[in-house]
Amino acid sequence: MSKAENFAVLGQNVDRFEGHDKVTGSAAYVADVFLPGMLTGRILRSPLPHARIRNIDTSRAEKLRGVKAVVTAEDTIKKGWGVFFPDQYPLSVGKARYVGEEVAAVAAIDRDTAEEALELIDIDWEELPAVFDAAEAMQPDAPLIHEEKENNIALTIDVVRGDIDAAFKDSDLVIEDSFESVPQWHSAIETIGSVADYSANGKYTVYMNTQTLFMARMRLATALGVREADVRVIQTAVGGGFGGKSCDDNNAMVAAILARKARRPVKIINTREEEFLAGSRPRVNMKVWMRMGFKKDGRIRAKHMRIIADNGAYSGKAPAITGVAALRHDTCYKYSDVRSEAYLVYTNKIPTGAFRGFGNPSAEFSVEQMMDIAADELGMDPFEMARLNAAEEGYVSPHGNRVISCELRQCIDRTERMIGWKEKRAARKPNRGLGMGCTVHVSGKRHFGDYDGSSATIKMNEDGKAFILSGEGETGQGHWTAMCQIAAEELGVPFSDVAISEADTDLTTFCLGNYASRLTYVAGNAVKNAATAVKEILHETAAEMLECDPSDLVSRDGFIFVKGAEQRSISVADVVRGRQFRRGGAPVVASGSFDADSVSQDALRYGNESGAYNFGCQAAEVEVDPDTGHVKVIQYAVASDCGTVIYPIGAEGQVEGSIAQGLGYALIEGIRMEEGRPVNPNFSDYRLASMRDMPDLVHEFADSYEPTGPFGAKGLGELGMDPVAAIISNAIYDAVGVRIRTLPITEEKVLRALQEKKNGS
Amino acid sequence: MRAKFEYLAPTSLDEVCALLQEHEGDAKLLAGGTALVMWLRMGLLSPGYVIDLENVPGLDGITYDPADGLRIGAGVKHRDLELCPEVREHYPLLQETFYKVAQPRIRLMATVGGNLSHGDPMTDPGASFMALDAEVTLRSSRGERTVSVEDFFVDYYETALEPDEILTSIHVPPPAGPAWSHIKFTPRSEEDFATVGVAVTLTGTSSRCDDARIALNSVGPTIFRARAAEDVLRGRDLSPARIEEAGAAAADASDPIEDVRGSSDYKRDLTAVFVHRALEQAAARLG
Ligand SMILES: Cc1cc2nc3c(=O)[nH]c(=O)nc-3n(C[C@H](O)[C@H](O)[C@H](O)COP(=O)(O)OP(=O)(O)OC[C@H]3O[C@@H](n4cnc5c(N)ncnc54)[C@H](O)[C@@H]3O)c2cc1C
Repeated sequence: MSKAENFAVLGQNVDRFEGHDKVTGSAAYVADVFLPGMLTGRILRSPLPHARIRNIDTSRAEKLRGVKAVVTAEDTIKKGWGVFFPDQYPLSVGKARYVGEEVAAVAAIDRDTAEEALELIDIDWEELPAVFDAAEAMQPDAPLIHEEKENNIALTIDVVRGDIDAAFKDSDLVIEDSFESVPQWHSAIETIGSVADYSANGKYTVYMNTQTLFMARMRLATALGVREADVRVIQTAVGGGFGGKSCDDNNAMVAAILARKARRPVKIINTREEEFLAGSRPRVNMKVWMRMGFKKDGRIRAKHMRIIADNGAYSGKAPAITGVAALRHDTCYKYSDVRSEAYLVYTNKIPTGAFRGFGNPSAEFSVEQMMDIAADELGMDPFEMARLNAAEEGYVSPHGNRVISCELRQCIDRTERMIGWKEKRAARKPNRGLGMGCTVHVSGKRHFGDYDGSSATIKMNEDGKAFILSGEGETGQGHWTAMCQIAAEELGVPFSDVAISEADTDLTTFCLGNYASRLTYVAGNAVKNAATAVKEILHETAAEMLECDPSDLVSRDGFIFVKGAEQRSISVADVVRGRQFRRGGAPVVASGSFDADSVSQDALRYGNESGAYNFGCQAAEVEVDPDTGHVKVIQYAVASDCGTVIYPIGAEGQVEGSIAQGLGYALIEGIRMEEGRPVNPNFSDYRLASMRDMPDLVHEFADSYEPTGPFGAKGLGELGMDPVAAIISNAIYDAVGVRIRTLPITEEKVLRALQEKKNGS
Repeated sequence: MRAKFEYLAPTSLDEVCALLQEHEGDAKLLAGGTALVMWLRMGLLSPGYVIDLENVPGLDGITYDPADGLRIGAGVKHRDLELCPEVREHYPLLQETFYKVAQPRIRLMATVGGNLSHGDPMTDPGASFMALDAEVTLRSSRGERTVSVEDFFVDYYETALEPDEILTSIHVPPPAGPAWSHIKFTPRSEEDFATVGVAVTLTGTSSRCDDARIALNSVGPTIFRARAAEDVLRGRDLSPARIEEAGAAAADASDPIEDVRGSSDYKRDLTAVFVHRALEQAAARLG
């Protein structure tokens, strides 16, 4: 429950920090970066899903007037890179493994010249047999995509907790089912792009619209074969990330390689078509088989899950995503006997990767339907069943996730009331149905080395304004605003007296970036710690100036007061001036850092993966047209437990955006491939839910406080996305008695299922 | 590679016709550009000349006369037609149809002439114009001719326009009666193209249908009139059985392709459902 804190700045809808720049169009996106002498880079991509390169002849392209550099693997160190498995190259070495893979690239004085040059590159291809389905790729006779990976398996997980066989025997009800998800595409309004420069002293400077600044630098350094500090990465404004701009693609690598060869800056911005082919890495699609055992009273007794996850041609973050799908959801409900198997399998398609939810949406699509099926079979109300099983404070999941704050039951109660569950169930309408589900997510995850932390520096200006130096970066979610609020709250200055830097690896200290719903919690703690340290310095000087003890001082509204004698006060500005402009003066500056109290999972994947867990419950009311199969979402209710809400409008935006993306995932989205080529690579064929398609959305935040979070806050950004598809499926079942187990739940699938049901009975 | 073409900006219809004749087959007219620019970008068209209609007088304006009906300049924007008071009052079917096209950003740019001339079977206005018996005027240096909207759509992205012709206006006869209906089925998103589109007008009474016009989009290589379905109703009653029969006849006449919106079987099934529903709605308006 919330600790009654009287916040001055938190919880207020302040003016978004970079809002004016964005609404007036002055924010500089990567397309707005122009360096003197800058060239345009274009990439030659593999037209084949799996093919050996017998020879590449670039001589004709090199001779074209206006071409300044042509590069192939011969211009690279031919060393693999990748966050978990170093299996991808900036430019194909020996063979290409999916349609769209980067094979060669050109830098020229303009785009038309560069594109003309691409047509002059001659490649002698030897087409190889390809495989597009993960389950087929595991078969012994399937073509090998990476010769050293037997059966195309990139990763296997098989963990057993408790006594799974005994638990199933002890169950009163055992159900089994299979589900399948699809690759969903981020559809960020801005495609991936970069501008790379290479200076004579051997240093690269790369402007990128990345959401993970220092991770991008690490990967660039590996791919280029240089030390980290030889690469400077500067984040531009980012037009949407959702995981797709967390640097698992080759755009910046290729720009850097071209810049070095051309000795001129090179800009490469993916076209929309390229973005679909080889840009942001779509959601990992999974086939999920499940068996669950329940006691008569509705308690979960045993859970067995087997996942086949589609890696695409290279690994990126899919290994971690597969782990999340296999294990995370066991933090939502209480039980101890679990078996989780997962296989991550290479196919000749675009590599899959990080997308809001990170494996959890596929898992929740499966588990939250199993819960609904069980409730139905046991004749139980799904809300009752959720309440009975819900995780609570102090729960430790079978895999070692330690829950500190948890308001899941509160969320369940709020959602039940918001959607009007009891009333609507008592007065059922034809073809209308209700569905619900629960969700859990992390606030940061320890999986890149043994670190899930952040750091920030705050320096004070003579006018009393604070400036935060942070490399976490803004991706569009309002992170900068939340950090300024936290710093203002802790420093006791008005929000308008705090500013934050752009993310720049040369100027800010190490941090990991924007993923895993981590920034408010992890970076928020680091900023708060930096502010505490700065406040101590300020109080030390103020105490000298006010002739009192530092421990007697409080800061508020840009002034420092003596407790109990508030007429004895001094402005923060005067304190900073006083400290700087004196003999032996010094800047008022301090750093803060934070590393979450989580651990790296051990070899058996046991261990508390995050510092804090966020929870939620959602419900939907749908109406199904029995003649067409069309599903209309009438109302959607969401309750989220994200601890203290720092920036309400930003938090609401996260909820609304999650539901919009979740509904798209449930009902309409999904990249469709034929022979490894996307058949819907444009926004006419790949449809997104638009503003007009949103249902009536009702939402509440739980009254909640996370003791380890900054002022009680924890993560939120992904939580809402995770369970939506299952909830829609549950509501459809409730409405018309058919259950669709594959995404997206199209009207045609619903209509055919209804017809089958009619014919069957 | 991006398309390269010469941009021409004539200032009279005669000049447009002369340019079309001069560059016959190698020129494309540019109206709102919402379809043309996309096709150029995707490399589906590579004309040597693009003729901009922006500065050409005589293509704008909507006039209504009770005796003559409605005349719409080819250059009228979707949004202007949708908001025109006379259209709202006398041709609610058109008002509703245009309101359902894409979203305001597109409707503010796209022209009525561009929509029809594009010949895209998935566009909406063509079916409603057909159900109202509209005709288009086509002009070239050779002269002027009128063609019914029904005959204007020839095949997949193919219209009756000759390479040297420009569509200058659309004429809709005076409204025959109040009974109409329009259904645009967009299950993926309200902003999507139709999975099935149906426009219906009826005259007569509920016990005797004097005339019926049923036009469909998105379920065949062109927008088309389901004449067999009309025949089921003409001169007969509008009983549920009759309406059902008409729906089935329309589905028989459809020839949809499979795409991201569904299989051809599904779209054919839906054609029956939506023609049925549209007829019910229109019949209810007959009173
Ligand atoms: C995002 C999006 C959504 C859409 N959704 C819908 C929808 O829901 N329903 C729908 O009906 N349509 C929809 N459309 C299609 C839209 O209606 C057409 O793009 C538009 O009507 C074309 O009009 P325009 O003036 O922009 O034509 P242009 O793009 O300028 O031209 C289209 C074609 O017609 C030719 N042309 C133009 N004017 C004339 C003329 N006077 N005489 C002869 N030829 C001419 C051009 O040469 C070109 O071949 C959508 C389009 C977009 C981009």
